[in-house]
Amino acid sequence: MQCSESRECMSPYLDGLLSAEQALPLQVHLADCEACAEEWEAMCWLSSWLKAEPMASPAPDFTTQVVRRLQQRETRRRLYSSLGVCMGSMGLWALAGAVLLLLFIALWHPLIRVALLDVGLSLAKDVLSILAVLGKALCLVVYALAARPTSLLLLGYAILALGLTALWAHVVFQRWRHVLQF
Amino acid sequence: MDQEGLWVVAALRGDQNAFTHLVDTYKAPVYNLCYRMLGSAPEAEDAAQETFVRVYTHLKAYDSQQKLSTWILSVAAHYCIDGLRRRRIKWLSLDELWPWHPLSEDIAQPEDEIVERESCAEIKNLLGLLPAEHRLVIVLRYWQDLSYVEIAHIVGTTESAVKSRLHRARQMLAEQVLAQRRLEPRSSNDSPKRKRVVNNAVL
Repeated sequence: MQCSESRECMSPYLDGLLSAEQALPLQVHLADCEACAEEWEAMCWLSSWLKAEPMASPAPDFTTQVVRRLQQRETRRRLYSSLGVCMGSMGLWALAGAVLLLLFIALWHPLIRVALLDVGLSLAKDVLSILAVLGKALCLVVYALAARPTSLLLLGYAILALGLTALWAHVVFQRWRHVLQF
Repeated sequence: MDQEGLWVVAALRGDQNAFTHLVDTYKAPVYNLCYRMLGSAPEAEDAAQETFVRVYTHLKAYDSQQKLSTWILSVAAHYCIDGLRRRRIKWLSLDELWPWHPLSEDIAQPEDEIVERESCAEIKNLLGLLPAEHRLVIVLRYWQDLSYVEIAHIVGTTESAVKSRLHRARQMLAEQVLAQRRLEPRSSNDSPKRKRVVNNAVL
């Protein structure tokens, strides 16, 4: 057996993976070769040293720390999802506002309406027409409601809706505070 | 289904109390793996905790056909390897490279404790010389006492690759030991630690 072959066999031999027949040439070589015998002795010494080394132990409050970390993670997740909902609704409101503004400009500013038509956006024209009809209908409905004696009722309803929205916001805020206490 | 399986099912339903039983069961091997891989107690503590957070959040991905211990150790191993890859390369001083430090005489501590701490530091320094992948197989083989097949599952490689890495890692460590012995003064061969290790030698 050559030194290179002997070195290849050392690790499996250390793990007891060589049969007696397979181990015999290695043992013969180790008896003859001082360099390999020295390396083998170092490997055995290291192996026994590592086996004797005990497992490192975590801090006594390790499990508590893991639970705390999980709760913090859950808190962050809830916070981000709530913020996501809020930002999403705000975004939708902003989009709706932008659409209404554009609609207003398009309806009341002939230059833009003409410009849109001039560039050949027939689809935009159709959409614009539909939105214009819908917008006018909405205006008529609001006007009709305001002109009626029930406009006070409508106003009361609007105030009630605002009050309920404020209550909902308060409940959401309380819930966040509770979550953030972890 | 065994008790461990019941804890997994409960944890999947969001029962953190059941999950704490799993943490208690596996915290020692996971922490030990992280400590041996990263070489620092605070980093190991953080890595082990993060391992369990990942285990909890990815529990749905756990295949019940697989051994839970293997899966958890696999999560820890990958986390440590990623951490080591991210870590900036540090130049070790000659003292840190030196596997055996002489004991400072002014520390008044019980001899066994000093020997134990010295041994732990020496092992840490020696393991620190190995590439991360080689260190991992050494840790899994010696401290977790796993077979080549189990190590291959954890590392995500083949059995022959594990065999090869283990062989190379042992060779590198043996070379280091031999190089140190050639440089080491003869008198230090009689140190208490060396005596203890020789006495504990199990071939």
